[in-house]
Amino acid sequence: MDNQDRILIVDDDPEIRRLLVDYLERNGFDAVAARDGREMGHALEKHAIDLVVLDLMLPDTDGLTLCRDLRAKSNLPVLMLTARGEETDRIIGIEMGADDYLVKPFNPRELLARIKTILRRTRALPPKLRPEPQRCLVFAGWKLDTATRALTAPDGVATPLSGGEFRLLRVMLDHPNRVLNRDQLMELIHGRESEPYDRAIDVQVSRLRQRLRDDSREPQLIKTVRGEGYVLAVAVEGRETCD
Amino acid sequence: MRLIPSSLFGRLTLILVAGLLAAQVASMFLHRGEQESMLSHARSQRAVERIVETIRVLEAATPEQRASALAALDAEDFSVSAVPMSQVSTGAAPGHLADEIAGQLGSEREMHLAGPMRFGPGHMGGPHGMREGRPPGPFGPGAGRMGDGMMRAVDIRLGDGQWVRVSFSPEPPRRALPGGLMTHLLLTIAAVIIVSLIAVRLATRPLQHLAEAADAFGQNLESPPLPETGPAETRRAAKAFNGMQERLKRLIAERGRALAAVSHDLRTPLTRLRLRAELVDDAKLREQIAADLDDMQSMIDTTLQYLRGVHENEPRQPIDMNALLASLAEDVSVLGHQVSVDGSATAPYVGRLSGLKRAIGNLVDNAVKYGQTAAIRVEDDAAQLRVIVEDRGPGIPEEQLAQVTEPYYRLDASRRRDTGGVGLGLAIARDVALHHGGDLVLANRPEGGLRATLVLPRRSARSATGSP
Repeated sequence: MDNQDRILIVDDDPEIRRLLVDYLERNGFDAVAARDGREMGHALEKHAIDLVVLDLMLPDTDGLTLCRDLRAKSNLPVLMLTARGEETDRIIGIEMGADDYLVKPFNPRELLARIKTILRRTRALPPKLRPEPQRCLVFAGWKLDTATRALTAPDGVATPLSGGEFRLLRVMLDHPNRVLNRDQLMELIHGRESEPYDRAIDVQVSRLRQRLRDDSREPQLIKTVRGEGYVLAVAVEGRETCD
Repeated sequence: MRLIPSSLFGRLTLILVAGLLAAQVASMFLHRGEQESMLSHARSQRAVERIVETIRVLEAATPEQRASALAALDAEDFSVSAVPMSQVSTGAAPGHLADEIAGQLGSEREMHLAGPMRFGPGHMGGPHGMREGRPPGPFGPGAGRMGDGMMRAVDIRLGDGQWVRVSFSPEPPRRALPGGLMTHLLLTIAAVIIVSLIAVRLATRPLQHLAEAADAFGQNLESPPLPETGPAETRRAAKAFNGMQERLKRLIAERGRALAAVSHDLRTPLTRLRLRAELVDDAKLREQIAADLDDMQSMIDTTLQYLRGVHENEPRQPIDMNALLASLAEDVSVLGHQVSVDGSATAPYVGRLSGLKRAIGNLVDNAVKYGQTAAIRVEDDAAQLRVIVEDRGPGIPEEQLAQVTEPYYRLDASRRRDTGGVGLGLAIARDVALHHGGDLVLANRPEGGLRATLVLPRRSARSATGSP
C-alpha cells in the first residue's frame, strides 16, 4: 500500500469533498480532504501528499493565492478546479503555477486521467529538471501560450492546434534536445504504452511538423532519430507572457 | 414624384423657404397696394385741378376760340369735348368731385356723371367738327369699376350754358412688375434659401450624430457616449441617449450576470451528481446518467458561450485556416466521427480566432450529430473565404431554413432525437459570421443532407498582418 499516491482535495463543499475522497479511494488512490487554506496547511504537515486538487473558490484564502504560496515552497503538483469556465481563470490558474485545470462539473473519469497524467509527468523527470510552469514558450520564433493553447508563427499567424497536437508539442517543448522514444511519448501524451506497429505517434509528429511548416523530408524543428524516436532540435525559452 | 421630401432636412428647408417666400410676397403686395392708393389719390387731385383749369379756360374763351381751346386741352389721358344739349347725360351729380371743383372755382356748376366709358382714340368728329363724347358703351361685367383703360366722364355745364364732357382716367394703367422689383425678389429668394439651408443643416446635424451614435451602439455596446454639446434640446437628447445607452449596457450586463450566476450555481450540484453517478453499480444506468449530465453541461456551456460571444471584443489576427480546420477535424475524429477536409486556404485569414473556431466547430458538430459525417470544403479567392460543411443527414425543411439560425430555435422533435443542445450552435455560428462581415448560408443538398456555408469576406487591407 506504500506505493499508493496520496491526493489532497481542497474544496469548501462537504459533499463534494466526501464524494471525491470516496471516488479516488475506489480508484486506487489514498485521499485526504481539507475545507480551506488553513486545513490544507495542516494536512500538508501531517501527510506526505503527492498531488493537490485545489478549488479556486475557497472561503478564507482563494485558491490562486494558495496555489502561488504552494508553488513558492515546493514542487507539489496542483490540479486546479473551478466553477467558472472563463478563459481568464484558466490563464491565471496556469500563471499561478497550476499543472492543469478542470472546469466543474467535470467528468470524474477525466479528473482521474488528468491526475494520473500529472503524476506521470512529474515522475518522468527528476524534480530539479521539472520546468517551472511558464505561460509562454518560445522556440525558433514560434510562440506557444500554454494557457490559451494558442500557437503563433514567426510571421504572427495564429496556428490552431488539435488537442493531440498541443499535447505532443507541449511534451516536446518540456524536453528540448532530449530524444523521446515512441513509448515515452505515448505514455506522456496518452497515458498508455504504444502497442507494436502503432503508428499513432508518427502520424501525430507528421501532423505537427505540417503545422510548424517543418519540411518532413528535412525537418529542422522535430528531427527523427532513427531507431530511437524524436527530438526537438531547438532551444526553448520560457517567458511570462506571449504579448 | 414625391412632393414632400422624406428627410427632416428637406422638410424644414421647404417649410422655411415657403414661409419666408409667402411673407415676402405678401409684404410686397401690401407695399404695392399702399403705393397705388397714394398714386391714385394724387392722380385724382390732379384730375380735379385739370377739370377746374379746363372750365376756367373754356369759360374765359370766346365761342369762336372754343374749338381750338378744346383741341389744345385734349390729351392722351384727358379729353374734353362739347356736348349738345340733347346728349347730356342724365346721370347723378358727382357729389364729391363736384364739391371739390366748386370749392376751387368758387361757385357751383351743374354736373352729371356720364359713366365710365372705354378709353381710346377714335371719338373724333361730330356735327360741329368738334369732339363729341360717345354715349356710354354697353355696361359689361365690372363696368361699375374703374378698370384698366376705363375713363370717367363728367358732363359739365359751363357758365354760358354750353355743356362739355370731360373724360379722364382716374387710375394709371396697371404696370407689370417692374424689372427692379423682380431682381429684388429673386435676390431675396436666393438669400432666403441659402440662409434656410444653413440654419436647417445646423439644426439637424445633432440628429444625424444621434442616428450615427445609435448605429454605432447597435454594432458595439462599448461605443463612446455622445458629446453633450450644442443647443439645449440637442444636449437633452444626447443626455437622454447616453442615459439609455448606460441603462441598456447595465441591463445586458445584469442579464448576463444573472444567467452566469444560475449556470455557475448549477455547477456544484452537477459536480456532486457526476460523482454520485459513479457510485451506481448498474453500468448501463451509469452511462445513461452520465449522458444526461453531459447534455446539461453542454447546455450551460453553450448558453454561457453565447452570452459571452455577444459582446466579446476579441482582436483580429491572421489565422492559418488550414491548421484550424485540420485541428477541428482531428478533435472530432478522435471521438469516432468521420470528418474530411478538402481544399485549402491560399493565405491566412484575418479574423477572430476563438469565434471562428467556435463557429466552424458548431457546424462540424451539427453535421456529425445529424448527418453522421462532416465533409469540410474550403473555397478561397481574393474576395472571400468560404468554409462549406456538408452532411448526409435529413437536412432541414425548406420553410425552417431561415429560422434555425435564430437563438434557441430548434427543429421539431422528430429531427432532434437525443442530441441535446439548446439550439444555439447555428445562432453562434451566424453571429460570428456577421461579426466578420460575412454570413451563414444554409441549404439542402439535392443529393440529401445539409450544406452550411460560412462566408467570410477577406478585407482588402491586410494591414493587420503581423500584429494582433
